[in-house]
Amino acid sequence: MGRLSVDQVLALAPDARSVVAARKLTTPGPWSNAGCDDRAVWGACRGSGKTPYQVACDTWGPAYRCSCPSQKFPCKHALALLLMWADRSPAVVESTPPPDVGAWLARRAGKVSGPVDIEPVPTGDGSAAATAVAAPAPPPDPEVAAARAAKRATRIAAGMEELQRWLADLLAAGLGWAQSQPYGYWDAMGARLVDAQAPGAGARVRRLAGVLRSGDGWPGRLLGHVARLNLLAAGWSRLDSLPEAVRADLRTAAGWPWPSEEVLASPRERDRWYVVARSVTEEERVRAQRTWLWGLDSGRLGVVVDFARPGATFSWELWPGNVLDAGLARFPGSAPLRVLVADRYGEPVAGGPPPAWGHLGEVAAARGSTVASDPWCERWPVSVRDAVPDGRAGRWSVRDCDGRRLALAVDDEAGWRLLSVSGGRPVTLLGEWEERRVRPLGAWVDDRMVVL
Amino acid sequence: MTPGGDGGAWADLVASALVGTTRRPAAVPDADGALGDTLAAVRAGAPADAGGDDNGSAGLLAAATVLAAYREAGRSVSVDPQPAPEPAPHDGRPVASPRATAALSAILGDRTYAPLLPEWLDLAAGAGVRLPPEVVPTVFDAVGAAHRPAAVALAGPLGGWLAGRIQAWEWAATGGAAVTGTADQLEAAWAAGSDERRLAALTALRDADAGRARALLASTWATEPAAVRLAALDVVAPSLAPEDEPLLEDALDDRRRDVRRRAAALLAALPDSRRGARMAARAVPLVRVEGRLRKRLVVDLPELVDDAMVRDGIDPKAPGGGERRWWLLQVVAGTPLRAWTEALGRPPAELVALALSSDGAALVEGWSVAAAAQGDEDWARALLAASAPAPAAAGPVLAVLPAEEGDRLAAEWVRRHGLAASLGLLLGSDGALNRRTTDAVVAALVDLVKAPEPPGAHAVRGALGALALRLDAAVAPSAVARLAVALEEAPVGNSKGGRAFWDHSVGTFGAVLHFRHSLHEEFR
Repeated sequence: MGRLSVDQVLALAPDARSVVAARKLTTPGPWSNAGCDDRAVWGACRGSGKTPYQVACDTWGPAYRCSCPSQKFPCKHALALLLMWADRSPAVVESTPPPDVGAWLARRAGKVSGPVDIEPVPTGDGSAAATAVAAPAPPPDPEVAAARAAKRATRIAAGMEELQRWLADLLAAGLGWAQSQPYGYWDAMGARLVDAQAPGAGARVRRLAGVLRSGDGWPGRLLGHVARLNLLAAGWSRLDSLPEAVRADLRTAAGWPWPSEEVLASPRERDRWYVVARSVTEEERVRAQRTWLWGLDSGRLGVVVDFARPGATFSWELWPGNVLDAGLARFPGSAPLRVLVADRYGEPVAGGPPPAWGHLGEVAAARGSTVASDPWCERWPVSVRDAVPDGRAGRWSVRDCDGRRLALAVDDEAGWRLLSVSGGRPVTLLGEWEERRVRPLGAWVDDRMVVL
Repeated sequence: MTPGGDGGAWADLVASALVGTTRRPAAVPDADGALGDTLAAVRAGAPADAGGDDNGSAGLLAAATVLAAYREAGRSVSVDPQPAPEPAPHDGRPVASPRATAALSAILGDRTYAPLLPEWLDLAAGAGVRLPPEVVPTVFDAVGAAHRPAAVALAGPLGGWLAGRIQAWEWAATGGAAVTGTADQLEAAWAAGSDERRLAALTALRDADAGRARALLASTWATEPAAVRLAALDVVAPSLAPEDEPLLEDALDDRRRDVRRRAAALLAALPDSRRGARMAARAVPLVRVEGRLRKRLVVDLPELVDDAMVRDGIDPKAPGGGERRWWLLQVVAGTPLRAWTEALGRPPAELVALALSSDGAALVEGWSVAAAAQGDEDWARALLAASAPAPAAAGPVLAVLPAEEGDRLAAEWVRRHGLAASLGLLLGSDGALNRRTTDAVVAALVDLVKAPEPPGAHAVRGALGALALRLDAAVAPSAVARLAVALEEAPVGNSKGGRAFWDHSVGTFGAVLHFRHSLHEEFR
């Protein structure tokens, strides 16, 4: 792993206060015996106590170790050490790790070879349920596993049957009537689906309450969501008659996680993967990060979804604008976007201008063909050339080279920043398609990647 | 964004769904082509699936499911006739480096470094780079009015382009303060327009042709509103010259008190003014040298404050006790310093020594104010050499001296009086503190940190933040290391000193100094 930029280190911070605290420690003053090699950074940081804290960071992990009592992960000491290292501070000297750090790295050596330690719920839309992080599966006894899977499928199918009746009742009573229902109305059905081991479907039901309050045109949008849920339930009602890929889509949409060994069993897609954009959303106490990849040779798309509990951070190697030569393992499904990075061939390198569609119509067409085979696919990467951000407070949009226009899903702060980045000139806009709008996440302008 | 081809079927379904099929029974709609075939299959299957007495809600659900998938997969983006925005003019300057940008992000996002924004802008301007466009909005929101012109200059044409879209940044549209043009154009700009723009034009004209700017201001002075009169005096202040005296003398009779006071304050910096002569006539007769062997200064206090004195800006009401001493102080502060050397026939150093050995504290205080206002180096030197000014008044006196000499004197002052008694001197003016002073401050701080209960510890600790912004950042590497060692060696600490007392503030002090050091290195 090469050195990170300061921006990349800052992206690791669990919160803004950690950054403030860490920056204060980026002077050589409190540090002694700080060093680094091509894998790790370490040092001792004087705190308020008598003994300095022993800090070490494994940049391959990433993993952090510090003798301080902080609950933050990484703590301010680890963050400060990384900041100094990223900034090439003379206080961090190239050397060999002290014995205890060496031993820690050796113990970790086994752990970094596998691509994932935890397996979260795969949802096509990032609706991470609270149960997102499943424990690593014990070595499976095939018969026990098959029996357990059959039991779960039965429970989900029963929950889906109930869902279908509930949806029909909803339409008999009317969406207008539903508007007067308390959140509990939606939550109760959502909870029953969670009980039926379909947390993904449960999260979709709970989100209906938000669609109700989404302003003009809500009945059409709500009916669309209801229809997609019904399609999911209808699919489950005749699961056995469907092709394997569709069954996989239904399993994913219901929120039944895929064990990583099953994902890793799929054939590798080796390519030079360009990191187009990263987005982080927080849902139900879990932060989900989606990293969109575009294969420079194959033109295929993929998304790496990581989950982190509050106070924890994501991996850092997939930074927008970088290219990683890697073999990806794709999740099952008819047009699955979600992937795992299975094999790496070398370090990520700066990738130059991003691959992109020529106009917004092409983005919509590419998305449409995936949605046609997987209707539960909601988010889609956007990378479009010659896009001009436009607007002012509260009314942001993007215009392509032919005058097609889409609303942007941004707050005013990010809106002004994007407008300023472009200055009214065409840029390559990077982002995510989300409910008929584009959430901008970055821009390629003046030969550099600006992450918003 | 509406895909065609469903012949309004979706809208019908939404209408039924909204009121509910109990009240508005729904039928599965028709359509052409493959969509129609699929819908027909739904129609055929619906009654079998649904219970029957639901007025078609199951059918509606099934039809909506087909149509929703159809519409979603066929979603396109329509062309909007609204034209593209006019782009901002090109800016050929390079963008500030990633490291400089990271530092700027820290300044904008972290209160500890927030006061360094003007320094960053200044260094960037010197390096000939422009602001990274992604931070321009944040900088515009964060920058104080005094540094807007610097921010606008660094933003380049982009700043004005953004400003056209939001009221809050209107100031950036005029380029902060910079209005350019020929002298004739600037005169025309003064004749009409917003106050802000008129004053910007006046500022530019004063730089280009001060005489013409003076005549222009004088020609409309009587008809200007009070706010403009007051602001115009701020335009005059940075380039104040004896030629400005007539206008200021007139302004002593202004209708508005704040204009009168501002004019008097400006006149105090012009020793050859009529006001200066009047002050000398009031002050000099009050002071005389007496004694044969042991000379001393005898000072009489003014008896009263008359209207003429009030007109000259003398405030008859003392801020607290000692009315007549307060009058004396003000009269002396307004008196040209050379009047004393002429009247008493002695050089400044001798007069300062005499005043200190007599009962001349008020005199010394007045002289200190006068030396700062009149920029009189001889007097400033004499006062500082004798450590005469009160700590709080010493800073502006120091600012009068050339940087090199001021640096030496301030360092000497810190060594002699300690850090706590030097804070007024060090922080009393806006100037940067140079190398010798910085070394002396760091040495004094190291001693304080190591001492068990040093006097003045609270005052010094409270001032560390301000000091870190003003000291010479070049010392940061050694200073930070020495302070770290001092903290190690410090006694455990209590509320008056020691490690626990200093740890946090000295840490922040070192961090800010170090941050500024890297900033200067980056822009070098």
